[in-house]
Amino acid sequence: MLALNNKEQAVYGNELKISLRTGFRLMSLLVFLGVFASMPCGAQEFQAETFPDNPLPVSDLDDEHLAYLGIDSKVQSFSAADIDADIVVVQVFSMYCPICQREAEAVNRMYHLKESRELDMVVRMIGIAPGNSAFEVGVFRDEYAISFPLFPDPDYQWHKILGEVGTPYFIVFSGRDAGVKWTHKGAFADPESFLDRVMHK
Amino acid sequence: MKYFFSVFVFIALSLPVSSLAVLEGIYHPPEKKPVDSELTVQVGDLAPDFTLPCICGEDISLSDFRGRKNVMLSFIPAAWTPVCSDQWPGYNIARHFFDQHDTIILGISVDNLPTLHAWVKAMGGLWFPVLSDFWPHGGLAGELGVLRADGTAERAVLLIDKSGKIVFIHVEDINKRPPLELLVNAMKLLP
Repeated sequence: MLALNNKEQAVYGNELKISLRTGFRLMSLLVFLGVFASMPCGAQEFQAETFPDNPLPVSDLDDEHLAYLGIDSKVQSFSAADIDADIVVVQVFSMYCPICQREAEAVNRMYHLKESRELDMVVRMIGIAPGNSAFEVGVFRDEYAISFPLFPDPDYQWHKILGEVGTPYFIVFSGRDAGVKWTHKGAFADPESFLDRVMHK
Repeated sequence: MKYFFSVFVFIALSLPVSSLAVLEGIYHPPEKKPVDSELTVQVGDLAPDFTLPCICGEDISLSDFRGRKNVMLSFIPAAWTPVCSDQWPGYNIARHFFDQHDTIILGISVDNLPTLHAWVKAMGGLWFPVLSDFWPHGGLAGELGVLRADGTAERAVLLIDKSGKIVFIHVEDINKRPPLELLVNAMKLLP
């Protein structure tokens, strides 16, 4: 082993410290850049200014959900603009999506939080499940006791309409004119702050 | 103190963002020929016994379940691809259907163990064993006739009863996911 005198040890020690410090900073930067480089370029986002008026089937709704959305039971289908609300929150989800599974409780809490608060505007929530059959949507609903209406999209029609966004994905639009106010990709940490953002965007 | 801070920054940037990037940055293969193989077994046949390594660290044989459990072999083409990444996690919340029919899933792909291990962990874990059919490459998939020309497995399901007999086979379009109700209804065929 190389014997160093005190001065050499001090110099070597300082050089080593500088090397370690530089190394950590460089590695941190590389990880940071590498993570963003690994994300797909142009990751899908919903770009439209208004929520599409493509029909949603009434047959997927029970009486309670019809009343919740303010939809006439006599019609065969309805569009998002028909929902009787000031704000509509759409969750794009999948039974198969592990993030959606982990987040289901938080989404539910947000729904119930909304119902329990005295809000000065009417907020309604729906879910659309690309690639999920009615059976699969039912499994998700039962597993997490989801209270708001959920719509299967087995043939990915809505998936294409919404720009092939991933799951979970949230679209918040005005109930007056279907104008999109805000979109959010991925999980959200806190139902309270998410709801506050929905209300104030 | 500065070094601890650097380490903290390194770890803080690596972990939570990486886990999101892991699922976001997965490979999106082009659309493939729906089915590219020919089955060598049929309903009513005795399923060939096999032994494959599991990411759990053990070797698992089909015969381990003889007389005890019905077995659903769930083949997927490849780890870290979109349809596959959102197929098996769905079965996590459908476990009660399998339990009702005394059925265990064996998830199988031709990926190697480290790949499968990392992928399953990134998906948040699964309740059923995941086996590697990596070596001999696609040996089991080939024996059953669900190995594609490109070396991946079909998106196939084989249901085997407790006596070892195949009671249901389904080879799905590789670009799609077999609907859950298909699997649930298949289990109703079990004796």
